[in-house]
Amino acid sequence: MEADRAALERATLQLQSPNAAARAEAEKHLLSLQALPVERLFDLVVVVLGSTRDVGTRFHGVQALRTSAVEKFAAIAPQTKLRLRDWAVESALSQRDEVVRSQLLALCAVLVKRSFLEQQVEEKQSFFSRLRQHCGQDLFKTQVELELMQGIISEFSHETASSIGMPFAFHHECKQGFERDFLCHVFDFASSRGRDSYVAIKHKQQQGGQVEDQLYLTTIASVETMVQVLQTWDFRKRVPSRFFDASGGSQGATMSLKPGRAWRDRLLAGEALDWAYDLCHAAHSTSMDTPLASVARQLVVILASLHGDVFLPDDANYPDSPSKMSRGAVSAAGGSKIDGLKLKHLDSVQLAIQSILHPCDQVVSLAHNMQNEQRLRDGCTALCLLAEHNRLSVLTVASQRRGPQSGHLGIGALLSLVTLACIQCGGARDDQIDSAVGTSLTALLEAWDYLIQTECIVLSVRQQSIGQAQAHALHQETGIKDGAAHVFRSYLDSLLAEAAETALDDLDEEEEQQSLEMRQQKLGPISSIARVCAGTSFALIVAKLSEIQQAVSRSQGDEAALCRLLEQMCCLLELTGYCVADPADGEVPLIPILLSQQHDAALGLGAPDPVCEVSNALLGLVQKLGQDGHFQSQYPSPRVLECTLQCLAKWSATYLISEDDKMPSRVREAFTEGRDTPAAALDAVVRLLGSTFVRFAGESGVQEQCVKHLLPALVQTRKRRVALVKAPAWSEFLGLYVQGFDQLSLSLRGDLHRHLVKNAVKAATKPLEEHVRLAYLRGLLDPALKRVASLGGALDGKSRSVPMPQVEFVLEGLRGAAQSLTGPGLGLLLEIFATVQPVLLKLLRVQEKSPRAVYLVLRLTAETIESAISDVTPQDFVTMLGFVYEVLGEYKKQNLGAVSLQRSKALKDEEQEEKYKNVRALLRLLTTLTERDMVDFTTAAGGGGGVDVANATFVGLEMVVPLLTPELLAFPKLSRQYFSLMGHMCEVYADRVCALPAEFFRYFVDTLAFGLKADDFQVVGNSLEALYHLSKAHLEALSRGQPGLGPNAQLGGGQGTFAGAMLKLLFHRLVYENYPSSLIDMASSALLALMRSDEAAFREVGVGIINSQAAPQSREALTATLSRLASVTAASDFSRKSRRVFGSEFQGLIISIRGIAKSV
Amino acid sequence: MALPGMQRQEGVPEFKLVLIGDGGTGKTTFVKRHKSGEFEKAYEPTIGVEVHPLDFHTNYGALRFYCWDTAGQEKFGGLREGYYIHANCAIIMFDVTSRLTYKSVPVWHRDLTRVCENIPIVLCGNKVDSKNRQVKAKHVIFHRKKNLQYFEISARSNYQYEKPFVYLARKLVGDNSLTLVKAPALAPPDVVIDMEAQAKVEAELQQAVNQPLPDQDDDELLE
Repeated sequence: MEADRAALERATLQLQSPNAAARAEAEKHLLSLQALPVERLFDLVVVVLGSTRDVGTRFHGVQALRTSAVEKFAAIAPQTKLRLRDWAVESALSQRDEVVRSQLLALCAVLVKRSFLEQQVEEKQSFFSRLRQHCGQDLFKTQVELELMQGIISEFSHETASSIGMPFAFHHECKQGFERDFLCHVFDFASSRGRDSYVAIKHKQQQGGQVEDQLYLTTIASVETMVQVLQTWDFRKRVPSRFFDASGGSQGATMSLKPGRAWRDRLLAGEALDWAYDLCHAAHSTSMDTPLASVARQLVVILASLHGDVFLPDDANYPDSPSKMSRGAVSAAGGSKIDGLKLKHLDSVQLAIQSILHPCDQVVSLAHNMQNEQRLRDGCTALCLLAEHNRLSVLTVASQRRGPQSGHLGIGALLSLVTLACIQCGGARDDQIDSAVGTSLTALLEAWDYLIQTECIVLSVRQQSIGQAQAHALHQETGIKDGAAHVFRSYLDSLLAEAAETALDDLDEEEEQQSLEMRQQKLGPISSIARVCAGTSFALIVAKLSEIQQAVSRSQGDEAALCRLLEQMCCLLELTGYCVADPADGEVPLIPILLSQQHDAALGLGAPDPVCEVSNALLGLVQKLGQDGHFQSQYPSPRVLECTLQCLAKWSATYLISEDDKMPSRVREAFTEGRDTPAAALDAVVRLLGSTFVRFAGESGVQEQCVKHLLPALVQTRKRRVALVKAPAWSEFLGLYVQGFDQLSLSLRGDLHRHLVKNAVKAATKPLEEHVRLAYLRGLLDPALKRVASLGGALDGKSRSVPMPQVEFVLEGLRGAAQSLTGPGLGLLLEIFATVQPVLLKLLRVQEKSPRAVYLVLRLTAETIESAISDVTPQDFVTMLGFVYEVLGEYKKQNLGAVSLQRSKALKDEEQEEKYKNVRALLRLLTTLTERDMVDFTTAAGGGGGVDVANATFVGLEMVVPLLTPELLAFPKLSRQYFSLMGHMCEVYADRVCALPAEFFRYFVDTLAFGLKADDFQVVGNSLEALYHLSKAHLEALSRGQPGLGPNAQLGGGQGTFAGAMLKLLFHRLVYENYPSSLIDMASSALLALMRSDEAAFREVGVGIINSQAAPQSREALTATLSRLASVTAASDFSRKSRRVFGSEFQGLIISIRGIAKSV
Repeated sequence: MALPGMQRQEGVPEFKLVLIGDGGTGKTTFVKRHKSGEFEKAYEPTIGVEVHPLDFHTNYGALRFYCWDTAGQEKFGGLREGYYIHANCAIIMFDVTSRLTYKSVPVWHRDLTRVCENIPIVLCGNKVDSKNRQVKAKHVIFHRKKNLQYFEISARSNYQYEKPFVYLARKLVGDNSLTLVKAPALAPPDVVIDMEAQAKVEAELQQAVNQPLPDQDDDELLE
């Protein structure tokens, strides 16, 4: 034992060695400890803790014991388990070193969890009560007891549970049991100990005596335990899980405390938490931060997010102003409109936050100087959470409870003060964005957004038309509107000043991109603030726009001044875009509710509508930039154009010829229904588009804004599309495109051409008459088709080659057409496809050296099929498949063998990149073909002479599978694409996969083995599914007297049967490689089929596992468990119910086998 | 200028940084940042731990992070928390294209803070360049719960690459005005760590100071 202890000490020391080999040796030794029988390791660790002073050695000893105990738990004798747990607690209670103590407590916590379902409630309760008795009034022991509680909570909470190799059902049952029997007691215990020790501290302070550190430490541990319970525990009754809930939405993605009715008394009633609020006030009475203040803030932060059933529901008859509501709440004794306990809670939390953040200037300044950053961060986070979970009106009523003398600032005033302080301290600047002040400002802007938007939306939904007026009155009355005006002005000043200061910075491309992204991040959150005071803020924007334009015209010749002004102009335009409209994200955006509300308010006052004012200012600028030569010459910067186009795209998507039936009257009149103005606005927009293409040819950034943002906005709705096609400016723009096609092909990037054609095709829409639509499309696509024909001619000519950029430009344009020509455009699409097919084939034959050409042809073919697949007739589909065969044939002739990547970790040159992309494009084409399986008619064999989807896909797969080396499959995206396709083929065409030619099947098995050993969850899942379907089809075929896998059932090369080889591989992963528990379930169906296919191989695997154990009791236990597995397998079939039963039993058995088999 | 509370090793203060998070989140790619123009790299899981010295040049002079790049996958995890001991700072990484990796963050954080209390920690959401983003920025709230600094990064495009390091350096030095004066340079892996000096640095810090992969859609590849 002494030698083992010395070896452990040596390894611990060596682990920190400068020498990598020595470190590896140390790692090996430390890992070998985990393979020792638990009892022996336990004895060693007891010795180490008793006689070794080195913290690292003791830490590694306990850590090895914890890991080993968890892995081999099933094999540990019941008495040893208890002895181990009690020893861990006892040792921790006398362990002063925090690192070692934390490991001991973690060991104890995990043992409590692992044995939780094996013990009766009384046994578990007895453990906790013995512990309580043992600790008594000893402050240090109580602190350790509380730390143990924290460790246990973290193990039982889904959020932080260690996986310990157990299935999700186990974790969930443990969590439910713990919540039912222990959770509240833990919280109550922590709360009462915290109160006692805090009272003792106060008492000693009042007496003028010295407060011993341990009293503080115990108070801190108490509050930390309360925070741990409230912050970590998921009180929802549904079954969320980090284990299975991979596709879970955003429900849990917010800081939220929703413990339900059972916690009402504990958190709200009487004086349950008054001592904690008192602690928070006292701890923040000075500017110095202490651990006690820090933990008190954490409690306030989590309490600020309290919501849900813990409160009584609000009265449905919602008053229309806070003052009215306040009177209602006070006068209606016992029957107030809002839950009295809720108001008390919100009052306490608001006051606590005020104590953290006030005086704002001082708190912000301290954070800015890194003297107490956390105080500002916590206060702002709490404020943000409070705003997120509560409405402005309710918060206002709560803060008015104590009357005007209470010193309560109120949420609006506090928010305004701290936001202004942060901005004035530079929090809005780029270089501060990650600082405490910067991140706090981000949280505060979010709080503004919540306070403004939530009430506005709630009122609008509840009371429809009158809701908007109420929200407006509320914002006015609570000071939010005035505060917002001040904040917006200050923020805008900061933005413009920073834009001017940084305009001349010499940034490289990457830095410039980062700087632009950073600014955009800052603009979004300010939009609600701007909108709630739109009368003031939009007027300020209009004034600044005009001011900068005048300054620009005055500054011609002064390059530095001009540069600064143009940067300010960019900043202002970006901000305008964010304020005036919401991002579309693929949807048709509506006018923001707040702006609609401002329209009505302005109408009532006879003031101009803010949206119309700012829109006119923007359109004025657009008109001048598009059509006024002199003005254009003052703005040579492509950046200004980019920003204008970006802002214009957002504005157009929302206001231009809008189909939003809630558009306020004056805006509608101006930009949708007016006699001339909407047409004039559209004209100005399109002319800017046209002039930009001419003036900024070759400027990709500008062109990208045109074709990827503005143009999609113009073709987004039907009314707008019709107006666009009829607009003379659009015809001129298309004329420019058609006539300047050759010129454009030299200056416009291929992918941008694709977007241009895609959107221009989309513009041709009903109710345009069919012949008008066709004429439009033919006119649009004519230059590209002519170019295809001329390329075909050139390929037939002497040189038999064409310039690749030209090919790329034209094929990308055709891809754009293929993407948009769906539904009614199908006829034209097929016509175009038929026209270009011969040229594409020629291109493949002649351009044999160009992987790029191959890629484009494959993508164009896949996209054409994708657009056509659900509407095309069987006959036409057969024709398409015929073309696919020809493409595949050419691909095979040109590329097979050539596309083999060298063994490397990365794709090193362009050619390799292209070849990799070709394999992916081919896989995509094949996947697209299989989508035909989803369409409701089967093979087209009736009309197609034996050509069907499966044939074409298998032909393609035969080409691609031999190329899929392990090196290539290590590329995640390609790998997922391949295994997803393979999973589909094995499910739908299992019989055909079974009958694949031997050589091809061999390649296929290799990829399958790769998939089973992969690390990607999706790849393993698809491989397991493929394996299940294949094995099942084989067994079912045999039962029908058919060959199933036939000769493929034997792998050759001494590997035995296909089923046996796969079975061994899977068993190895399950038992020895810690296959994640979530995958065990997925593996069960595949293993059931494999074990049924090759019982001899299963027996062989079993014997191997048993023989790996020396101890007779281990061999005995393994034999019994494997026999049980064999009998369960024999009793199962492939029905869903049977597989589910098998799956759940299988998990338990595998975990047991794993626990025993891992001991050496 | 000497950094407060630190002992220089050949004039260069050194810190142990542990880099943790689920497998495949891009920890190794982050540490071994290249500018080779690769658009996708093959995934090779880290086994146990690899130690890389990363040098940064700041207005305080040079400083070095010994970055312990740990295995994210359970099966290759080696000693797991055993590597964290004596760490001065940490980065927890998740992949914004995989919700599961974000859901594991609380466990990584719990395991880390059990061994290293009160060290500066940065949470990093990697692969923000990907079009297939699953964890949106507004859904990332763990850092708020635990008072961590959060950065969105892209190892592929180098987006905000230096931010986590600068933040950690500022925290370790205790001055917000620390900035880089030269683009970060990556030193070769597996170099010598002088543990004696490291131990002294750590002891003083205790007194002085109470954070595959590039993958993209074809559309993007064409551009």
